[in-house]
Parts: sequence; structure tokens; C-alpha cells
Amino acid sequence: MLKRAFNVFAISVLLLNAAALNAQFSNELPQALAQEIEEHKAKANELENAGDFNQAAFHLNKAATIYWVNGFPNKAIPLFEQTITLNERIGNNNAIRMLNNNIAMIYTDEEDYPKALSYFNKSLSIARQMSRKPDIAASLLNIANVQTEMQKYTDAAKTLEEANAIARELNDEKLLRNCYSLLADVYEKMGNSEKSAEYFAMYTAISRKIQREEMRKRDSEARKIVEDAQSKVTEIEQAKQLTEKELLDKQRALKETEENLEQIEQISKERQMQIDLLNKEKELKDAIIKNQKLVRNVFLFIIFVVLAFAMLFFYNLRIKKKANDKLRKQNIEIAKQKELIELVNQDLEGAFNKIEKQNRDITSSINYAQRIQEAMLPPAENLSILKDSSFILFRPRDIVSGDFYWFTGYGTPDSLDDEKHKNFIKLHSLPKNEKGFLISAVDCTGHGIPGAFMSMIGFNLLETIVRNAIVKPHEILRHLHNTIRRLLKQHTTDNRDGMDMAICSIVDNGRKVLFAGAKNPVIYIANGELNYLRGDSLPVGGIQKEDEREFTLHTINVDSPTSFYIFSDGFTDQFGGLHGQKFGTKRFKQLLLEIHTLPMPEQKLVLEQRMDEWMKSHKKQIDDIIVIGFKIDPNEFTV
Amino acid sequence: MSIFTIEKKEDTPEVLVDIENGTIKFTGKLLPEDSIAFFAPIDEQIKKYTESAKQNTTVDLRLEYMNSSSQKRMIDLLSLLQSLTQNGIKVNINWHYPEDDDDLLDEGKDLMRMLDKPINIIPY
Repeated sequence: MLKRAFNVFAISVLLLNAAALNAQFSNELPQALAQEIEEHKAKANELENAGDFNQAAFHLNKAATIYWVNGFPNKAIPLFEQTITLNERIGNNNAIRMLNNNIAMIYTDEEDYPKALSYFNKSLSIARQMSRKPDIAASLLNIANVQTEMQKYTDAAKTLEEANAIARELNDEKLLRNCYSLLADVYEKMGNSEKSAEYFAMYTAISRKIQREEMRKRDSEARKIVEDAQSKVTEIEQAKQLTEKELLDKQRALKETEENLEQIEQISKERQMQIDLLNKEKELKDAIIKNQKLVRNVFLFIIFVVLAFAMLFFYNLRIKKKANDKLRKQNIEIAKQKELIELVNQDLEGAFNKIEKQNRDITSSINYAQRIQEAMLPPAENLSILKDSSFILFRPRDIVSGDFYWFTGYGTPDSLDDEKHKNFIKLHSLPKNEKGFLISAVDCTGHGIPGAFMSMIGFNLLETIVRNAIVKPHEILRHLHNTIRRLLKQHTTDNRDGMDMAICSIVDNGRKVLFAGAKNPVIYIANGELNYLRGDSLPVGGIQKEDEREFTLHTINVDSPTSFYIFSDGFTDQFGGLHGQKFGTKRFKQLLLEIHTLPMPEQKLVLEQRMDEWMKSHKKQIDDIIVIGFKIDPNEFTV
Repeated sequence: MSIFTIEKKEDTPEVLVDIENGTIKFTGKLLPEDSIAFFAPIDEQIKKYTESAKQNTTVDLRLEYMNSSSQKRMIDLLSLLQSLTQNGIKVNINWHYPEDDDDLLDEGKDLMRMLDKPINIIPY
């Protein structure tokens, strides 16, 4: 308690110093504090009116303290006085004592020592009443201090001795120290150096003791703090260790769990492997069973196939045997038949050989005959005057021909003195200087050998007739007709053979061409114009119903270059083309009109080519073909 | 037996001699190698026919071609039939030719001239 009182004192001094310092800078209380004081005052007033004096005293005390602390002690004193009044009403003596003490301290600061002493005494008396020895001692020290300031050293010493006695009683070392300090000071001022020194020594001793105790106390406190701290650290470490242990435990537990898990997995894996293995084994077993089944089935199948083949084989063998028996019988018959056929074949072969030989013989015979016929036909050189301006297209169907060509020049001997007339027939009975050139295309009835026979007759007769100076074409035909009928006895037999023919005679040095035809015409083209001049419609030879057969003589005047064509029906009647039709007179005329301006040998080539093309589809030539062409330019031509 | 026929061949026509109906027909090409041999059986039939000829006798010739030796035989055959007219029998000879074939037209005309009796020349 003493200690607290001394502290209050010490704080008061400090506070007062601070307040004084503040007051120096400002005579006004800051607004905020003033307001706070007003609030406390208002509150105190309110509470006082309400009868709560204790709380009212509290707020009033607060307001007074604010004044005091902030350097306005004079303003604090009335408030403290009011607070004392309030506390008196509730009988709070301790508060009254403290308030009086406060006022005393203010007066001390104000150096109003009598008033300060008065208030300290009031506080002392209350403390004595309350028998609070530490407070009594504190008050005595304050009083002694004021008495010292008032230079009442004897009073002060007396006061201090009392305080010292109490301090000794209380064994309050700090209080003692203050007492000794003040006593030393007071006795020094009183001039009692002995006592002053005595008290100073005591002061020093007790100060040291306090210091030591305090130091010891501080050390022990520090030690305690350190110990506390250490124990705290230990606690924490223990806690930490505990935590680490827990952690470790947990980790271990975790690890164990993991290990367990792994183990479980391992077991699970092993189980799975076992299951797989079992499955595999099962599959293997199944496969083996399957395989065994397959092998068995294949084996069964093979047996079946072998059996089937065997049966088939034996069946076939039987059938074959039957067939073979049958075949053997058939073979025997075939052999017999073969012998027969061979015999027949031999006969046939004999016949064939015979026929072949006959054919060969006949062909040879005909070939030979052909040489005779060829020898008979006039040589090309006899064409003389027409040599370069004529052609003869002669194409027999067979080896020998029923068609033939015949030509000869004739004239009175005096008219024939040139080299070119050397093969002309010399006729004495003709009028003087008469000469001409006869040319004929003849188609005897039939073809081949009969045709050839007829041609021999015809050719021979023509020669004979002309050598008898019959040179007019129509007269030649008439004589030919009559002679054939006579030779073949056609008036008594049913022989009808004869000739269709056209015969031309070039006379008057080519200024005229005489023509007669037995069924056959002449075509002549002059100035691009084609003329088709029909002969008589009756043939030479054959049946004769009229008394005398006469042929018509046609005279063609040649004023400009003219091409003449006489021919058998072999060319125009040839089947062929696209539809196997006849070449026809119309097409023939057209063709001649196209080619008549060409040189005669070229015209022959064209006609041959055209006929070859035409026959391609039909191939077979139906009759002998003879076409004779000759060209006469009246301005150049001479017989 | 009253109908005599020869089948058509490459070089010879179909021939029909119908004695009952007095009809004689030649259809096709007429160019036999040996015309006398070809005509011999036909001539025989015709001779038989003339012995008991019908009041109306018709000959239809539809020939694509006729060679010269056959033509002579044909004239003989037609002449024989024509001679029936002396017994009051009517003889019709028809020559059929394609209307664009002048050569066959001429052939018909020639036949008529040689026969010296009318022939019906009919185009088709």
C-alpha cells in the first residue's frame, strides 16, 4: 500500500510537470477534452439528481483529473471539492482521503504550502481514522516534504520520525528508504550533520538492499520468464515431437495401408492371373477338345469319302465292264462295218481315181483344143490400121470359148500395095480401089466345147464368105445364116444352134462404118453422144420361119472422132454387184460414156477392172465375154 | 400326176406344168449347161398336154436370165403350144420383167419376134 501511495506521488509530480508544460503552450483546453469534461460533468449532474452519488462522484473525479493532467489544476480543485462532497454523502472516506491528497498535491505544485499542508492533514486524519498505516506513512511523508519546503525542519523531522517508526513497524524497505533520504536531507538542513550522515548511511544501505533485492527479484523474474519460455519451448517441442510422432504414426499407418493395398493388389493380380491361367487352360482344353472333334470329323469325312470313292469305283468298274462288253460287241460290228466301208471306199477311190483321170484327160483335151482355137483367132498384128486405136477384151468362161472375134482387111489388089495391107484379103472382083476393114464380135450358141465347135464353124465360114468377095456386113450375115442352116441341117433336124453377132466394116477411109447385127447392137460415141444401134432381132442360124432371112445394113457416117463398141451379152448379163443383179446394158452404156475418151488400151483395163469388181460377189462367170472397141478419127484415118 | 414340177436350182428355174389347169410356169434363171437335156422332160410333158389341152392355156415366164441355147428351146416349146390355136384353143403367153430392166424387156420382144406371134409383155 505504501508503495502505491508513493507511486501516486511520483506520478503526480510527473503529471504536474507535464501539465505545466502544456499550460505554457496553451491557456485553453483542447476542444475534445473540454467536451469530454462537459460530458462527465453533465453525467455527474444527471446521476447526482438521480441519487447515484457514487457514479456521479466517479464522473466528476474524471473531469477534475482531466483538468489537472492537462495543466489546469486551478479548475480541477473545485471539481475535486465537489467530488469530496458527493463522497461525504455516501460516506466513502477513503475516496475523500485520496481527493484531499490530490488537492494537497495541486497546492504543493502551486507552491501554496499552507493550503497543501491543510489538505494533507485532512487526508492524514482520515487515514488515522481508518488506521491505514501505509496511507498514514505516505501522508506523513507528503507533510514532511511540505514542511521542509516551508523550512519547518523540526516539524518535518518530527513527522518523518513518526513515518519512520511506522515504516519500521511495517518493515517497508522502500518507505524506510524514503524516510531515511528525507531525514538525511532535513537534518542536513537543520545542521545536524551527524544525524544526516547517519540517515544517509541508512538510506544508502537500504537503497543497496532494495536494489539488490530488486535485482534479485528481477533476476528471479527473468529466470522465471526464461524458465517459462523454456518450459513453453519444451511444451511446444513436446507438442511438436508429439505431432511428429503422430505424423510418423500416420505415415507409418499410411505406409502400412499402402502396403496392405499393394498386398491386396498383388493378391488380386495373382488371383486374376490364376483366373486367366484357369481360363487359358479351359480354352486350351476346349481347343484340344475342338481339335480332337475336328480330327475325328476329318477322319470320319475321309473315311466317308474313301468309302464313297470305293463304291463309285466299284460301280464304275461294273458299268465299265458292262460298257466294255457292249463296246467289244460294237467294236466287232464296227470292225465288220469298217471292212465293208473300206471295201466301198476302195471302190469309191477307184471310181474317184477314174473320174479324176477322166477329168484330167478331158481338161487336157480341152486345153489342147484351146490351143487350136487360139491358133485360129487372128493375130493382133492383123489389126494393122486399128492397132493403136482398138482393144479386144476376150474372156472365155471355160478354157475354150463360144465367143470369138474376127477381123480382116480386104481390098482390090491394086489398092493394096502398102506394107500395112500385107495381111489384107485380096479380092479381084471388087470395084477398082475398093478396100475396107471388117471386124466382128461373135457369140455362138452355148459356151465351152459346144460353143467352141460353133466358133470353129463360124470363124471358118466368115473367112470363106469374105474370100468370096462378100464384104457387106448384112450380106455376110445372110450367107452365114444360110450356110449354118445348111451345114447343121437345121431345116430337117431340131438343131437350133447359131450365132448372135455384130459386124462392122470401115470403109471410105474411115468416113463411113457399115454395120449389121444378128441380135447384137453397136454402140458408137461421137462428140460425147452415145448411140445404141440395134441389129436385127434374129440370130444367125437356128429356126427360120420366114422364107428368106434378111439382115439390115446400117451406115454410120463418121464426121468427127468416133468410138465404136461391139460385144456379146457376156459382159452385160454377168451377175454380181451388191445384190447379184445383172450388170445391165444401162450401166454398160454409162461406163462406156465415162471412159470413151481414154486411149483404147486403157479403156480395156477399166472394163476388166470394173468386171472383176462386179463379179467379186458372184464369182462365177456365167458366159463368155467379148468386147471390141475401136476409135476412128476421120481426119487422120486411112484404110 | 397332173402337176409336173422341177425345183429351182442355181442355173435353172422352177418349172411347173399343170395339165389339169392348163398352166405352165418358168420362174428364175435359165442357163443350163445342156439346154436340150434340161428341156427334154419338160418337152415331154408339154407334148402330153397338147394331146388333151385345156380350152385356156397360160404360160407365165418370169425369168431373170435366159441363155441363147435355152432361148432356142423356149421358142420351140412356145411354138408347139402356139400350134394349139389351130384347134381353137386360146394360148396366152406372158413375159414378166422388172420394169427397170430394159434387157429383159428386149429379151421379151426378141422372143415375140422369133416366135412371130403375140406375147403379153408385162412389167412388175
